[in-house]
Amino acid sequence: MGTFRPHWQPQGPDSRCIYHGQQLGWENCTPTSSAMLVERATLGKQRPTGCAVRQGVEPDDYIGGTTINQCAQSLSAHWGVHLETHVGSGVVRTSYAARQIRAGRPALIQGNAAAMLDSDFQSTAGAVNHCVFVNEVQGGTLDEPASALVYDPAADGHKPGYDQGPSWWPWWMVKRFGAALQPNYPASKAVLGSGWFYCAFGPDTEPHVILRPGAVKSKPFPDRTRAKYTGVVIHSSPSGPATGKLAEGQLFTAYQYFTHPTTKRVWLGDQDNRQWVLAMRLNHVGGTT
Amino acid sequence: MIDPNAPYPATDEEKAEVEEAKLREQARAEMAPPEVNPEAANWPDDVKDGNTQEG
Repeated sequence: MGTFRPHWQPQGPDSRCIYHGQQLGWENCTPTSSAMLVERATLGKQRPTGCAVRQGVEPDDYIGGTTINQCAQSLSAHWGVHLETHVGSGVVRTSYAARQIRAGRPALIQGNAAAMLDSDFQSTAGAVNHCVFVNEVQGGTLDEPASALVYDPAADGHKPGYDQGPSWWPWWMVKRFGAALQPNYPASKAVLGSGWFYCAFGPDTEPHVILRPGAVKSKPFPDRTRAKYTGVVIHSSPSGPATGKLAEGQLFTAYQYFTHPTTKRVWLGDQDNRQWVLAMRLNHVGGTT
Repeated sequence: MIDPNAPYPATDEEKAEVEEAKLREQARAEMAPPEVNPEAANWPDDVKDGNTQEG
């Protein structure tokens, strides 16, 4: 079961976001990255555009780019998605970000596109402060993943040699991007430096479980089990109405266990508390299947 | 039809999935609060993104 992946959204062209008469598409990377984060955070239930996120910023801002804090406010107010933000004196180590993303949290990372110029991941004409959405990491270690699935809203392949997102970036490229941020631009072109990120994290979505009252998370989580025989019944709740059947050997992925208070039988439930199967009807409970 | 006696993980994809699940649980279990960067005291909160057609 993979991590939920939202649709990639382009920030451009400029006309994609016209607000107060201003064409803002090419200056809308943080809202567009934030919009993709909303889709991930809500597992596809909400899918705003980058321009909608921009228009949700209060007070209205239709000059130039936007900040992580502005977009965090918009997401919280209009989509109920609350971000943990780390900017200014609250910047975090790249290893902290790696662990948060690995733990199932989508992220916004600010950096400078200078890092990607002349690479496979180039998406801009020059070295500008930029923002990307990071959906997941894979491989490597907790502090140093091998790669990250990056949704760069400028990576629309509209020029020869430009990337088309989303793309798996090596983690060192993500770090290089973050380190190249120019926090005091335009007053200064001094960079943030290696090891730290301006960033924000959404809620942990992977894998999730809606626990039935009295149930506990499965161990392992999730617990992959198999039906012992054809005709094993799936119930809508422990001892509740039948809603389906499993064939012999068919996979039932459990996320929670529930011991019935009367019968003392153990039931295995799915992640949404909608499907329940008696443990005695399943093989490989609590182990490999 | 899935062979109920087939080993799991069997495929490279399944093995990678299992490893990622282990790392995810480890990341959750070993989460530490963020460090403070003393050099960041005067860095601005309000860093704006630029125009991607310029530079």
